Amino acid sequence: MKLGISQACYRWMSYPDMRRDRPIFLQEEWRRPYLQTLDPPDPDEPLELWLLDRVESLGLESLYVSSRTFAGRAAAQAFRERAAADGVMYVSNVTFNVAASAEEWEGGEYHSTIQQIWRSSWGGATVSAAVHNQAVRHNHFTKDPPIDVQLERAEANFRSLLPVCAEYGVVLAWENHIDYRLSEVVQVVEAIDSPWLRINLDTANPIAVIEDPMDGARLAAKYAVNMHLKDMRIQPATGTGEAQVSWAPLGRGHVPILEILDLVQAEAADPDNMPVCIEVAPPPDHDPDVWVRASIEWLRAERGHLFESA
Amino acid sequence: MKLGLSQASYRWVAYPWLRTDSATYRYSTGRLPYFESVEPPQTADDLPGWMIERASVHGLTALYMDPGFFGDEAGARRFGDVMRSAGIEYFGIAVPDFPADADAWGATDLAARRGARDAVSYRLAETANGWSGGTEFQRCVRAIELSAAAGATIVNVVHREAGLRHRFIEDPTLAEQLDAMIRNLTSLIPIAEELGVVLTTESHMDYRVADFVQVMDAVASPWLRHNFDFVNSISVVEDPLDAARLAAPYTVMTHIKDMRVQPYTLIGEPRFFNAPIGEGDVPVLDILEVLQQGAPDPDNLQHCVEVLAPPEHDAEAWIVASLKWLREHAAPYFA
Repeated sequence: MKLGISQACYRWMSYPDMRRDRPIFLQEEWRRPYLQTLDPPDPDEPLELWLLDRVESLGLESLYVSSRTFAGRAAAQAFRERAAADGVMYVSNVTFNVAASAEEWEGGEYHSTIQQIWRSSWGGATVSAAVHNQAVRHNHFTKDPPIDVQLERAEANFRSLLPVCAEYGVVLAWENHIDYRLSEVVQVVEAIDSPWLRINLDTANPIAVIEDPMDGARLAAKYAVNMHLKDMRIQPATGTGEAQVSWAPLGRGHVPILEILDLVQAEAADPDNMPVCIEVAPPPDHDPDVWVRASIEWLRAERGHLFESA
Repeated sequence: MKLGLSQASYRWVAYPWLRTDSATYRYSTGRLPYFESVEPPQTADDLPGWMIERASVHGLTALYMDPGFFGDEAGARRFGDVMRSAGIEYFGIAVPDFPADADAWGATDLAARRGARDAVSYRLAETANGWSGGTEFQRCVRAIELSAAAGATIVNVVHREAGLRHRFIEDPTLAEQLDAMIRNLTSLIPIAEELGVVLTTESHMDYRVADFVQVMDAVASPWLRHNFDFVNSISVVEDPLDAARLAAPYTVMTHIKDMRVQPYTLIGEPRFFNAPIGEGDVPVLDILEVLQQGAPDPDNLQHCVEVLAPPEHDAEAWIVASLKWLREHAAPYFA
């Protein structure tokens, strides 16, 4: 496995629309960060290159970052060359309304998505996580349309993208992205049955849709071509009767990450070359680099043999 | 099927240790309520009568309430008579540390049982509330005895220490916790049988229904059944409808409620919000149908409404809205 990081680890310090040094952040309800060990990227610094620096300093082999961060084709190609020189495997993402109606799909969603597939290819990605960007409108729990109709639409929409994926050599890895259960993702992947549609298995996201992470992994492992390693603490009982689920550095939460890794290693088609990206995104007042380093240390201590280069 | 009331619906209004006019609450960061359409009980001693009145006002036929509120056998018999006169079936509660080890659970012989009355007391106050003295076993015995004195036919045994011990912790392991539960519940079965009270387990934001099914099958007694909670399995990452299918053959009462699931948030942590029944994401009608088809006695199955409005919201408004929704959308079950 190729251990790496997801851009989301540093979201609160690096995303232009989320970083904590925006003036608007001071008007929001969050605490300001304490005891930071890392400087954010300069405003003019390309995010993808700043993240490559992070990968290099952490001694990792893969990076998950959106193709939308590239300023253009030249920037994507510059990134591609730098990543290749550093021996870093690039995993992109494409975001779209997975459950778009036919009208929405034809009205712009399809075109926007294939542009992202092109950009992924320019950056050198052969795997791109497919992320539903309308999870607030359409998810496992929403009823307009009901879940079975959402999955029918997802199947149709993914099918229409696959010729483009084949042409550009980019496998779409549908991620369970706090929207659908892995059992539902697997249902669509199996219905389409194409090597150009596989799964990006997120270890913690099943909790958000009330699916046991291990049960979900058992269904999805054989289709996994990328992973997001994420941990969450579950506090089932609270004074209000509303469970609290909160981020945790890997190994400090309740997700059976090691068991899931072992399962994927045993069942995935090509585990040795699979990018496995740590995605721990602490609340904005915490130091993300401390969390990332602690997570890497724990992973190497517990399953270091899975991440040894051939 | 019938509709009842769980005391927890009024927790922020009525519990001395939680109510929003208490000094404890006023020192917290919780918002104060803006609109309240029901007056809280005047004193702690008024609490059981106040709860009975709330059930009556809403035309409900069961009340789930802590027997500690009654004080002693005389109080239990007195309030039991009031409930019978009002046509209200009473369900009691015992709150042990469910997976307590053998030392904490204590001796379970006849001497221990007889000593429970003197060893255990209940305090209904803003601070230091609840059961004290004795062993975990003796506190359960006392709760069952007082419940029986009030005429209870069911006593729900609820894990008290869910904040510390639940299915996700590793020490003790889940298997060890379930073994302890089996041992502890088995020790209570002779008391339940003698007093004619069915004990129930409940998935109470601690263990899955699937875990409790293992426990009930291991204890293997007709005096141990299940109180199905429509929402709580969400807290332990168990699908509520799947849980209902597992629980149905064991279910002799329920806590009916609803919850909103917000899987997607900016910070990436899902949020779960209590909701009036019908305004959440729990498939309430599907679960009712599962229980109608699979529960041992669906005609007499009491669903105790347990809607948990946040403290700054009007609890009474949530209960009224929930009952209205149930009576409109689930009318065939409650005809």
